[in-house]
Amino acid sequence: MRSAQPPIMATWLLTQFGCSPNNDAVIGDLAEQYHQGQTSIWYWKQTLIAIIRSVFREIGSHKWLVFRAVVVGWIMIGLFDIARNVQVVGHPIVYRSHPELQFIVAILQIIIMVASGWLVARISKAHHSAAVLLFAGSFLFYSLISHLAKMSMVYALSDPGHRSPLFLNFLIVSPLEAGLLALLILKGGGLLSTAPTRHRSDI
Amino acid sequence: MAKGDSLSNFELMAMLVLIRLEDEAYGVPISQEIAKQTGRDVPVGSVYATLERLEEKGLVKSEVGEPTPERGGRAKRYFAVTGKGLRVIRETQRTLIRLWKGLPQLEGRNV
Repeated sequence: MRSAQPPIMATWLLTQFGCSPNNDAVIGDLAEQYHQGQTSIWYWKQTLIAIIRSVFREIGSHKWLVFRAVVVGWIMIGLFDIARNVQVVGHPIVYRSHPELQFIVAILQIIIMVASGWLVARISKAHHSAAVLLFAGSFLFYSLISHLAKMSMVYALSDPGHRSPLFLNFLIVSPLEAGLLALLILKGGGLLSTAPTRHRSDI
Repeated sequence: MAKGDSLSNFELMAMLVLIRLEDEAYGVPISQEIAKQTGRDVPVGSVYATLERLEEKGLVKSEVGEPTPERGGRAKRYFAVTGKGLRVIRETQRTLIRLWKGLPQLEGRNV
């Protein structure tokens, strides 16, 4: 049965990730057409197209500002990764035998993710939605590709009898971890707030 | 026509629809009119992306309208073609007519 209200999740996504200065008007137009008889599938399709079009338009209109912000975010993550590899993971025996060390590294990683999202948003100012989305998207893409590369390498080198737990890690845990870290970037960049977002037209 | 003022096919269609709709040119009727004239569904997001680009070029202007309950209390945004926009449309029309003339392949009904 068709709901009287447009899909809440789709509206929330458009509110959070729509980068158009006329985002409110877009949401209003979609709601009006939904009440005129359009389906939920139509509403979802329109929502996704509106988000994608507005993000690409925003990135295209402010290429250098967005590019600079994303590069700074990557430098921050890269520096943390280098420090972690040299200081902690570089000494695997010490690292594995100290759960408290693993806990501290995990907390530091959470802080770095949130802080990098915040920094990208600060640098890109009024265009922060597009920049933070691009940054989180590029991080997710890079993480998944690097997990895939590691998975292929470990699969080739591992003993066939020990492959199941490895696959559980690479197929479920690693992508989930990458997704959670990307969500932390979005949160740091102010994109997952429940408060009404400000748009350029309001500024 | 200044450099950067040339219009894409969709931009020209959107501006002609704004003129046609007069005072009723906001997202819903604009996308419905384009769909009616072209015979294909036009996403509202694409319409806004185009109108925002035209507004940046100074060819279109917009103002906030009234919110209604069926829109979830969100205001409409009305668009209109500016004087500069009208000049660019006329120039585009003249250019297309000049290009159209003297092409035997495009004459007659079987094209």
